[in-house]
Amino acid sequence: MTFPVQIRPTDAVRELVELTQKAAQNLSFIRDEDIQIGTTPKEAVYHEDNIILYHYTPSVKKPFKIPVLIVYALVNRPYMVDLQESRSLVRNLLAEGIDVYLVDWGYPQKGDRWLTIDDHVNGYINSCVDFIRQKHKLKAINLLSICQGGTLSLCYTALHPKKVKNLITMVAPVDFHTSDGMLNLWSGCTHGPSSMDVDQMVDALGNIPGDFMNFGYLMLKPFQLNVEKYLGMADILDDEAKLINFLRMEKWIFDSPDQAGETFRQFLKDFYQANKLIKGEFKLGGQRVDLKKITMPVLNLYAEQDHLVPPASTIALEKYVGTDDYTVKSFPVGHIGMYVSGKVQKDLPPTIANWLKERA
Amino acid sequence: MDWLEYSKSMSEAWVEAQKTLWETWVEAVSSKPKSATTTTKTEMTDVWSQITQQNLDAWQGGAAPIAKAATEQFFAVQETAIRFLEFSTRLWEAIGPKMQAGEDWTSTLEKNIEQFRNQWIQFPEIVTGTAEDVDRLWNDFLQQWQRFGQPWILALQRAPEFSARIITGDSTAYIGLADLYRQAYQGTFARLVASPGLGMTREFNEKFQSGFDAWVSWQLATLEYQGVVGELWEQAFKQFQEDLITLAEKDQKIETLRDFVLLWTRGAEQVFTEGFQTERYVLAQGQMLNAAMAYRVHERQIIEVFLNLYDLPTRSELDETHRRIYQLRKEVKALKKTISELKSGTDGGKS
Repeated sequence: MTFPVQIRPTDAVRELVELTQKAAQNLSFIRDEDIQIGTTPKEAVYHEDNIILYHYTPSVKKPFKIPVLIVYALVNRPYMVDLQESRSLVRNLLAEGIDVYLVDWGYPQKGDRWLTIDDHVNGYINSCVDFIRQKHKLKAINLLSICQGGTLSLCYTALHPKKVKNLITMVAPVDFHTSDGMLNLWSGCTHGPSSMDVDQMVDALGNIPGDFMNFGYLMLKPFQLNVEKYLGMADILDDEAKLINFLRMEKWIFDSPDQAGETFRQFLKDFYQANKLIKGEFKLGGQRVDLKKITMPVLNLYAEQDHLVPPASTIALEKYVGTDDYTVKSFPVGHIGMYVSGKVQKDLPPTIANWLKERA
Repeated sequence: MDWLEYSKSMSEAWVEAQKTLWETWVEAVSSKPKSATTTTKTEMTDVWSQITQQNLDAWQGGAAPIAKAATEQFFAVQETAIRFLEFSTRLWEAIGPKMQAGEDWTSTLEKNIEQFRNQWIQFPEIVTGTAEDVDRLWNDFLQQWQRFGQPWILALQRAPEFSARIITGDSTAYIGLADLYRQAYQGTFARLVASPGLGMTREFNEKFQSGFDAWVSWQLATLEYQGVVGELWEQAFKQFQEDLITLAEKDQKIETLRDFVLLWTRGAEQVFTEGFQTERYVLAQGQMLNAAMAYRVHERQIIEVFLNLYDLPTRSELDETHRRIYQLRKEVKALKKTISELKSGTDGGKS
């Protein structure tokens, strides 16, 4: 039996030196303006406090009559849906003839610490939906809700069912007590405040720093996200387009808004720790959120290798909604792959568009 | 506690842990004193460091910050790779002769576990709770606060001396203690004539003592957490050895540095992600986090004593102001909506 490591130190050092020089050479000439994100043409059509409602310029002459409002998560920035031109969910939906709106939550400031989930759901989402309904003279519009935005949209749809024509949820957590989610465990799905005393955390920090959130996400896959990813950079140093795409993703990952304290408190305690959404115990604005009131068509999309929102957490939706028209579809990628995988971006937009066309 | 700084230091602790792990192992397998290892290591690292520094110095001023950050991380990963390379060289030096002599080299790897455990998973001496430890902790804690009000800290540091004399019946110590606080007061807030000095001192002392207790709890919880993480490092280390042995049994070779690093990271990733889901880890992490937050609350209370004396707004006051503005904003929105509905004569889109 021979020792398996047979690396010639001189060769390896030479290789590393070359890589180092190449990295510095190729990366140092990249300017901020080279890392363009969210390039699909859009117009800000509605403002309220920190939030902005964007309307994307349709790319077909006669888009679908009923527009889609994208409701993204409060964590991270919504430009993930339009990160790079060649793999943009928004651009691809526009090409499919869908009229697209997106709500940008902005960056909560210290003064936003008291904002609640009710303010987001019955306030901002409702304002955006009403704006679009009035502009298009429609009774109801379509919602495409993503990740945490999916949970918020489920609450909204249950409380305002007449304003939602069709509901699409994508990688949205529904059952927060599935055993396969590390984020669920760390947030207290099994041990409650012993895992995370959310009250104390919000009392101590006010708004929850984005850096804290980010550190937690990176620790879910510590070696892959902190070492292997950068090791892989060596393969793309000669390819400027790939390098810029890599940097776009880096920019998105580390662009983490702080979380409004009271919203964070409620989301963690009521959803992650008490799992109130599926128990039918969650209340907003004095009203109980009853998922059985979601009777319009529902398309539930999830990622098979999602480490942030376990598939079981998403799939659970079927048991709790009141609709007879429920469709579920999975994609063989992780959470982020839903936005940036070339294959998914080829399949996902037509899946959404066709599903909507059949229910126009 | 600056949370950005805290997150950064946690990240750095992970990188440092990885470096230390390899250095520990290198020393163990090469059976050389630390200085000898360090010398050779430095030679290799120096070449790489010089080149890296030259490249960073030549960095264009207008380059995208995210590009620079990614490059720095790229270099950091390479530093780890360099250490891995050094490790493999040492390992080869230690194992090669055994192999040539037809001896069992795997036992050389196995014996490192014990050394690793001794160096990495030590029972924290703080837990013994001796008076000396408490004194040291108290001083560490005080040092953290010096920037906020050094005169008061100095007074507190000397206070026990007077307290001891008071207990033994030395009434002049009262005067000394009062003078101590008076000096601190003169040095900081003397112009605030209306300030109730004694009341403030008592309130401050209580908050400071509570803050110290919370700080100690946080330190203990952090040590406990590090102990749990240390065990995961040990398991990852064992996993790596098993992976090496498996490769050797299959007569497979690792010929690139990258493959070598990946062998380590992929095995370690599996160990850590499984470990992170155990009840023990979840509770240790929760305890550390909760203790950090509890300390943060105490920290704020102490700071606010100072701010109040300077007649400066506190975080609590700002929070309360923000809350009132938030409520007013909601009321204004509701009123606007009602007015709009009344004007248009519609139901305002109610479903």
